[in-house]
Amino acid sequence: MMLMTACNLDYFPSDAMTPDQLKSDPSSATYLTDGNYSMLKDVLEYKGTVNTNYTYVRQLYQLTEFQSDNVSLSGRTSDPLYEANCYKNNSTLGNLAYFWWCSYRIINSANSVIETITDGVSTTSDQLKGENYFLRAFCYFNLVNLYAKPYALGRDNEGVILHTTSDTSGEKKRATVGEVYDQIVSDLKQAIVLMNSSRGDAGYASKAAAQGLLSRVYLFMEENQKVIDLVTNDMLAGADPSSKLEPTASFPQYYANTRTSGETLWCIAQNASDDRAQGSIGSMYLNDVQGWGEVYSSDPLNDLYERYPNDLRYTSFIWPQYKDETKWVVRFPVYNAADDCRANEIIVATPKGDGNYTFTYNGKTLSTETRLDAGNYKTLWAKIDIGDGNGEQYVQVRATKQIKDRFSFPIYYVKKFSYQEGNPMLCSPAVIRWGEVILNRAEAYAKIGGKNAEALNDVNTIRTRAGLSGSELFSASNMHGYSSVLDVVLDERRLELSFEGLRTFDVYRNKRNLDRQFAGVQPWEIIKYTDNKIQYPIPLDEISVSGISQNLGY
Amino acid sequence: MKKNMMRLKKVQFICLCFLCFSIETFAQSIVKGTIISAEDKQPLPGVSVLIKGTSKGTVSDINGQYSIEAQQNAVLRFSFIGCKTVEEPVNIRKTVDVMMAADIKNIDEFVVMGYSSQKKAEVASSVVTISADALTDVTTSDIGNMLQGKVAGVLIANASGQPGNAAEIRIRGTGSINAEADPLYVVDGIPGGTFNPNDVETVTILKDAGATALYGAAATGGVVVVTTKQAGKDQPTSVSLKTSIGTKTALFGRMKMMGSEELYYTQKDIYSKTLFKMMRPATLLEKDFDWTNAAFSSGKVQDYYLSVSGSKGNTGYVASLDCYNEDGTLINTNFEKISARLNLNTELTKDLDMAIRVSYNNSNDQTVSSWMTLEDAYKTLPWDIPYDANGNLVRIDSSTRPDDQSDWYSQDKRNMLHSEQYNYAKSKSNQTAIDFKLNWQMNDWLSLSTTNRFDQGVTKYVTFIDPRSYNPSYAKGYSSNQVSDWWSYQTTEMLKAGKSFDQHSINGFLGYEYSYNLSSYTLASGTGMPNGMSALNTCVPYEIGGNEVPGASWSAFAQAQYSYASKYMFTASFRSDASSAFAPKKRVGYFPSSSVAWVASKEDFLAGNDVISFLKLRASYGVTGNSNIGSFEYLSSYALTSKYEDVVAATPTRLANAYLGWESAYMTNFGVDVNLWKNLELNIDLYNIDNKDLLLNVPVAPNTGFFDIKQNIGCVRNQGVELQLTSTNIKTKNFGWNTSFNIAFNRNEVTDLPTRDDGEKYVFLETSDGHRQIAKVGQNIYTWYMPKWLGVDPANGDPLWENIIYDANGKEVSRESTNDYTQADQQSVGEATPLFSGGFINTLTYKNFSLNINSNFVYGNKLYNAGRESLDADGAYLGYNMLSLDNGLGWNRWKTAGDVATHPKLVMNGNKASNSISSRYLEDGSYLRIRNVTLGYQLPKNWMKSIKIQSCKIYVTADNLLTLTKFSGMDPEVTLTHSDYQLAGLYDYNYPVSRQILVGFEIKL
Repeated sequence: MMLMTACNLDYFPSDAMTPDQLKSDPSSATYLTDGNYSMLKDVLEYKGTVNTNYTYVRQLYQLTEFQSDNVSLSGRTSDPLYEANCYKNNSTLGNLAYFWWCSYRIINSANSVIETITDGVSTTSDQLKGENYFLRAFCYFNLVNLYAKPYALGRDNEGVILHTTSDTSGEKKRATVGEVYDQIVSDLKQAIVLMNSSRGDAGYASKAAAQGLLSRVYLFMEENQKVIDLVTNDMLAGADPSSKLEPTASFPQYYANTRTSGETLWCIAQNASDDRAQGSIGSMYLNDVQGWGEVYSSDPLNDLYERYPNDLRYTSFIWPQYKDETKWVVRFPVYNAADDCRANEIIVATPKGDGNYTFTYNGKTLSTETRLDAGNYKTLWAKIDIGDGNGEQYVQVRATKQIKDRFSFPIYYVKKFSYQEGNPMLCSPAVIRWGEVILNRAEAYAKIGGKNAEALNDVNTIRTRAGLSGSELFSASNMHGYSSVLDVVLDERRLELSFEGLRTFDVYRNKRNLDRQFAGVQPWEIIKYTDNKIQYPIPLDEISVSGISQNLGY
Repeated sequence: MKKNMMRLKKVQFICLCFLCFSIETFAQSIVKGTIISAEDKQPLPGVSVLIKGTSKGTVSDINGQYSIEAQQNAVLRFSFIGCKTVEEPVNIRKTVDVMMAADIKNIDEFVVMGYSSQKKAEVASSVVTISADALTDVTTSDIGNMLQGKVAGVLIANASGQPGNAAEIRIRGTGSINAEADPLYVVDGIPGGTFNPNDVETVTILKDAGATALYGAAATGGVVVVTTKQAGKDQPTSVSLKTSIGTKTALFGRMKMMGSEELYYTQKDIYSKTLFKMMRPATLLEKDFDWTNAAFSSGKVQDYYLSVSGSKGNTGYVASLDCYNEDGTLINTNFEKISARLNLNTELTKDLDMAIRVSYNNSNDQTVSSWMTLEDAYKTLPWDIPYDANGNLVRIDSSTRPDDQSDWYSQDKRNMLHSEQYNYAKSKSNQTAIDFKLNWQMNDWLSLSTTNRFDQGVTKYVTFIDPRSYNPSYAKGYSSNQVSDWWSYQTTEMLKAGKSFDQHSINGFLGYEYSYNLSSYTLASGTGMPNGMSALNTCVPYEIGGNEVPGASWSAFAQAQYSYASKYMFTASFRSDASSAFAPKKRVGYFPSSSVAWVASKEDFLAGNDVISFLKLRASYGVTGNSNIGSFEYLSSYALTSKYEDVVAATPTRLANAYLGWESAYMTNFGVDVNLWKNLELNIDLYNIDNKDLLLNVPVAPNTGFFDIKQNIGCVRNQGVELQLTSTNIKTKNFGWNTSFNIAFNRNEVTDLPTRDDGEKYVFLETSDGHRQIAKVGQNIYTWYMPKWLGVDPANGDPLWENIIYDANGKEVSRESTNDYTQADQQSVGEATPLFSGGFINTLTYKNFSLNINSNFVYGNKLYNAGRESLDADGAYLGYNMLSLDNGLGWNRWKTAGDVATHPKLVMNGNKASNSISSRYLEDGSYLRIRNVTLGYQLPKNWMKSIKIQSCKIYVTADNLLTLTKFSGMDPEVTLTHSDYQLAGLYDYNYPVSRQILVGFEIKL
């Protein structure tokens, strides 16, 4: 029996390859590149634990959008998306640590592919290399925007750690925001040169995807002429912008079909087997048999949409949950001293027929009053004591058909991340699409001076696709109460790109403050664009080992 | 030398022949007598009576009487299972009465140490042996549960009430941070294997390295040596039947959820007036459903055990069959197990023994179908009635009830009871282990043996989510089959030698071991099946998975022992192990040990001492290893387990460490064994264990794309004192009282770790929910690390935490209270390991009655009650039911300025993050528990005579009768282990343990 036991103790895993084994496989670059894509949507084990909510893509869409004025979180949740929504972050939160780590995991893996492929060997290998440049640029772009100050606030602010080779040893410090942006631009330029073939649907990066992302990067860098040139000359190359968009007729189904739509420049592809159910992006936004459905389209965003009730972006992607469409309610946020957020009072009201309502509150019968703002948009007000110690005062009141609520927050589901293959929890989120690219150019036009008409043209292209027409469009002579074209563009970006992760950046990089004084669990406040809490803290896991500096305020 | 030996044998043989001839010349006559037990002076039936040197014999009758025809100079050999064999020369007598004493050889005098057995008096190490009787008072299928509170220094926790759940065992504290710290089970001399607690003859816990180092690589967590019953020579056939049946109920401790009314008026204080009217109509007061009560019910426990043992000719046998069946208290949970064993031992030739042991286990269990079941049992609001008007369970998947369009008030839109109608999680496993052992007694001092075990098993885990039920993850149903199978082969070859001359005794052995194991895993799942169909054939494929993991190790070991006059004992051992778990350069580990003992009571100055009847001093030192880290951890690789657009993709797994090797524990032990006044036995042990070269997950900066690398770095020290006291307090003809008490103090300290960027040496242990412990140099390995709770501000009911103020140089200036959680500083706030633990067992007998009371205690550990973050959250979660404050712990709610309260003011959506992780939810985990009370009655033997039954005992037994604790959760017995998903001492919607009351009987034929 002792003979049986010749002492060979070398065993290898059956479902993994050693680096040497992988190198000798001719498809290694494809496996690794696909691996880099997969890390965007897979639940990866981090520090021994697997949290099914933690995917790069879910964190990306939450960390960006939940800080904005587009969403209203309807109650406390133990998911750290609560802290993101309330700007109550700290460096130990799991979502922040995971996103940081996962970003670098993809970056470093992309670095090793970039290193192993020599330029020009074949179209296929160039394409793969370009995809890795693209993925690296995409990851750095999100990192630098989430964990550092906007580029517009200065190139010399601290950015993030910059790795451009697979060697991650050596001194660790944060590069400046400018250095990181320069790297992103350089990577995207490389990607544009290298990517000349297609590997499949919009789930794979392409030359156009890299151009589209570069247009966003230039916009964030205030390189407005470069945005215009890139979009006009390289991307459109004479084509009509509207021809690039998903047609109006099929636009309501666009978000379920991003992978095959011509509008999508790049999406993170998710197949049926990637269904994350409760851990999907759509889950927080929607309850349709599945889904938590706890984050709703906010009051100010709904107000903006409701100025043009025919807007397909409202009627198709926002889904109010009415309880009884024959009854009316009015509601208004009331003061809540202890946690500084305001819940609604919801009161059944009687329409007076002239657009106003009567209702009873604290034993008093009150009546709304209609006010018109600069663009002739109606708002309702009433003189109410909301309990903040200021006695009776005019507050804005919203009237709707009797709507369902969750802890007093009216339920407006969002359908932008759902219904791929009919599955309410499945989508392949379009990270870069033509709708944004056109609005990137619109913003650049609005800022460069003397191009207001072009800017409004681009805005109208987007509005027309959304089913609006005639007086619903903008012109120099009909600005609908707006005083600046940039304001028009920024509101159009908000309407078009709502929930797609750009709103917070759009506000702060334009050095504007964010008004979060609407009902939701977030503190009732206006956040200054210089506020340090806008930047997420560098995760403690990083600081405690590499010793890089923490963001101010943490 | 060999030749001389042969010659000696020949001479003996010739003498023997002469002897036989000479015997023939004596006259035959009838010899009669009565055999009684030395202990209770009762007659002993079934005793084998044999004329020595012949095969002629008889068996005593029900009155203990025998009669046999024998030569006048014959020697009668009386043997009986459990008694010392008596040899009595007839000596021309007609009547030979015999008193048989209990054979304490197996349980008291000899200790089975795994590779060898040794006289207890001569053992130089810290070992504790538990006999079968002392073990099986508690009714459970798990031996760990049986050991609880019975051995000093062995801390046992049953963290889940799931039937069949194995308890966690920690011997002398925890020395490993990332590697597993479980003890090694050695069954019948071979690591691993399977056994039924009823088949166990003895369990020996090897605690110090003097004994454990022989197990080298796997022994850092201590060794539990299990020996199954084996038939003795000339043992008459004995049949034993044991049955117990009873009921169990879940224990909720101090935990009580609010009822409808209490919750209604509590929420009234949270909402504004108008909102409350709208959200919580007064009609809710008419609804009151007790979800906890619906989730738990009482269940049955049954155990049937039949065994037959005896010997025929050269062959001894023990065969047994056991059926164990236990309901869970939680809805749709249960466990059943059938085990069978056959132990055969036979003398093939005079010098060649063979043993074959076959054991088989088949178990089926049903565990909770979803994590939601337990959570919803506590969280769901009493205003949500799970039934419709017709009494049918309603399916909930949104905030509107489908039956009457009214609201579903609970936070989570689901009706757990509806899902429980259809869904399940079941596992089925069976394991067969076959041992084959040959022992060749080459001569009277040298033997060679080979012991082999073939062990194989398979576990199939099936989960099913019916399409009719609501599940947040699977809209169209889900069925998955996961099959894990393994087989292993182990062989041990040993050459043993032993020789005594004059007062000297030398023995030792050389051994070689090899083991190979292969485990494989297969997963297949599907969705879209028709209602109620779980077969994968009826599904649309959803996911597949599977892999195969091989591993092997070899070892060589040796031990030498020398004793002089059974007074001075020296033992030295050495083991070398190689395991495929480690990098090629570091595969081999070396584990030496030595121990000495001095039986001082054998010295002249203590001879005849009335007070100290036995005194032994022991000392040992040794090294053991830990390789419990899984496979391939040293290897860098790319996993091929992910996909993009359904195409296989590669992702990096981990950083390579070409120097990954053993974690080693260096243990020193000093012990004293004293017997005082013949009725008191005291064992005291002092130990120091230094775990070095820990298999540590050393954090690396996440910007590398990795989070840790496994390295051999860091040290943890455990120091402790153990005291075990056994006394016979009263022993009269009718009345007896024995007490056994044990207590162990363990102090744990991390002594070295890699230095972090901030100059400190620590690592965090954490869960994905953010619960965190810090293992820091100078502190306990499991130190809770979180903001410190400073109570409730009497002025306004705000939560308060401690904010540490630092100056520009990072030096602490002062500590202040803050109501801003983001300003609260994380700090060390308590230890999850107890200061001491132990047990107290009393056995009383009066005539035929016996009463056994077994209790255990744990003191000084802090438990984190994570469930309170959502159930005791001051208004943060309006859709969850709340913990009632009326739990006897003096909890009260802040209402108006000046209130000194334990609980902050209620605020809608939460009071300034008062329910965030902090020492607010850290609680005293000390407890004292009456683990078991058994009242037994031995039916008088003369009643049994007529029905030819040797003995019959009936009993009533109760487990977990009473628990004294200040813990606010259901039960303070919480996991001791840090793993991927849990921390030692973390309590979160645990499955509560049960109180069980059973009646049983035990019949011997």
